[in-house]
Formats: sequence, C-alpha cells, structure tokens
Amino acid sequence: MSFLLLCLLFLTLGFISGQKLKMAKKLTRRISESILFFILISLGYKVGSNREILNSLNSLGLQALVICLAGVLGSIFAVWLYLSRRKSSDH
Amino acid sequence: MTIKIIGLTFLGGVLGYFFPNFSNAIDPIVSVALLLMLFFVGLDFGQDRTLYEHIKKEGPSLLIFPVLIALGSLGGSIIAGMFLPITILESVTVGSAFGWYSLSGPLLSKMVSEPLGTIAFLANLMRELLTFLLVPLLAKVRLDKNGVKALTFSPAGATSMDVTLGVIHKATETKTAIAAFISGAVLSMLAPILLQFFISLMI
Repeated sequence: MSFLLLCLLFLTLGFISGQKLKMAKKLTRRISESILFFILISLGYKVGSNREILNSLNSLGLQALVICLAGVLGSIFAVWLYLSRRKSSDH
Repeated sequence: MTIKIIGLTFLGGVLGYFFPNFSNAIDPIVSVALLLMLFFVGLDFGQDRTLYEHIKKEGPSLLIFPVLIALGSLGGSIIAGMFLPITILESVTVGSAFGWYSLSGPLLSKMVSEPLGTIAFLANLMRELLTFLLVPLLAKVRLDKNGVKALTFSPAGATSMDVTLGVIHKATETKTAIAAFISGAVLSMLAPILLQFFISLMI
C-alpha cells in the first residue's frame, strides 16, 4: 500500500515540475518510453529467472490463464458495452 | 509496437533463464524505474495547460470506468470458476486482484493455500503481461471519437496506475493516460478490500 502512495507522490512531483519548467514534450515521452522498455525487459527477466514460476506453469498455469482471460475479457466487455451504448444514445 | 513489447519481454525472459544471478536485485531496480517513469509521465501531465480544467469537468465521470472494469473482472472470473477444478469463490478471489500479482500471490499463499496463491500470482502476472500486448491493439478501436479511450486500459486493472501506465500513455494521449491512472488507483484501493472480503468467506 505504501508503494502506491510513493507512486502518487512521484506522479505529483512530476506534475508540479511540469508546470514549473518547460521541457520538450518529445523528450519527456522519449525518456518515459525508454524506461518502459527497460521495465519490460526486467519483467521478462523476473519470470525467466524464476524456476518456481516456470515449473508451476504447466500444472496450475492453465487454470491461471483461464481466470486471466476471463477477467480481461469481462472488463473489456463491460467497458465496451458502456461506451457503445453511450455512443448510440448521443445520436 | 506489440512486436517490440513481445520482443523485449521475451529477451528479458531469455536473459533471466540463462543468467538468473541478478534475480534478487530486479525488484528494487524495477521499483526505482517505475517511480522514475511515473515522474516523467507526471511531467507530461503537468505541461498540459488544459488538463486541470479537463479533470475538473470530467473527473467524476471517469470513475465509472474502474467500476465497470471491476464488475467485468469479477463476472468473468465467476464464469471461469464454473469450468475449473477450483471453486467459484476461489476463482473470483483470484480475479478480484485486478492484476496485482505481488499482493494476491503471497496473500493467498499465506491465508488460504499454496496452490491458490500460485494461481493468483500467475493469473495476475499474465494479466499484466497480456495488457502490454492488448493496449496497442485496443488503442486502434474507434468507439468514442472525442472521449477517453477507456478500452485501452480495461485489461490493465490495478496496473494502469503504475506498470502499464507507460504503454497506455505511449499508445494513446494525455487525457486517456489520466483516466487510466485514476482507474488504476481506484482498483488498487479496491483489490485489497475485496481480497480480504473473499478470503474471510473462505476461512
């Protein structure tokens, strides 16, 4: 939970700095994109280096995959339903 | 972009598989990288002069999205539970973490059982990884021309306030990134509450 507060703090710090100093939008996007790519490699590394995760993939992994897909599809469906109904009521 | 995401994650996986020596260092490094990324995303938010007005005007209406995302996830995992060896209650508990694997995995391992903790860890980790793949694709769907592209962050769940915010920010525009952050923050607060509630029904 405290990490969430830290996240909020850094976002706010960035927000305040953004209002004070002018920095090229392209540059800020470039930097956050580079960090994103680094995070992706790290996440992959975390999974690849953890033998426990790799070993449990076949047994419990399938159940996990089903729940993951069901949750993701459910969320997409709920938002899609809302957006498409709102769109049709606009006209 | 999806190719790049798969490629980089896969590259990381291969590196991790053959050189696992740094696995203990990776968590603090990712945390620092995340905070840095959030700082720069915030910097981008801060430079948008119209943003404050936008949040003031549309802020409350953005709260509908985390509610819909939560209901969709819970509904989906209830349906999944009907077809799985685990109970429906166990399945919906796993689904109620909304992608927060570092919370749900250890919590369920400790409070309920090791296998359920492992399923929760894997399912929510998969959700986070799948989100990286889906965001660029969902960003192309034109549902609401002027509105927030809420479809892009609906698979993200709680992760759209930190880990997946970067990819959402990159695939869409500032307005959607703000909505994604708000949605992720709400779901991050909701996940521990729901987890505690479902666990209390089990034990």
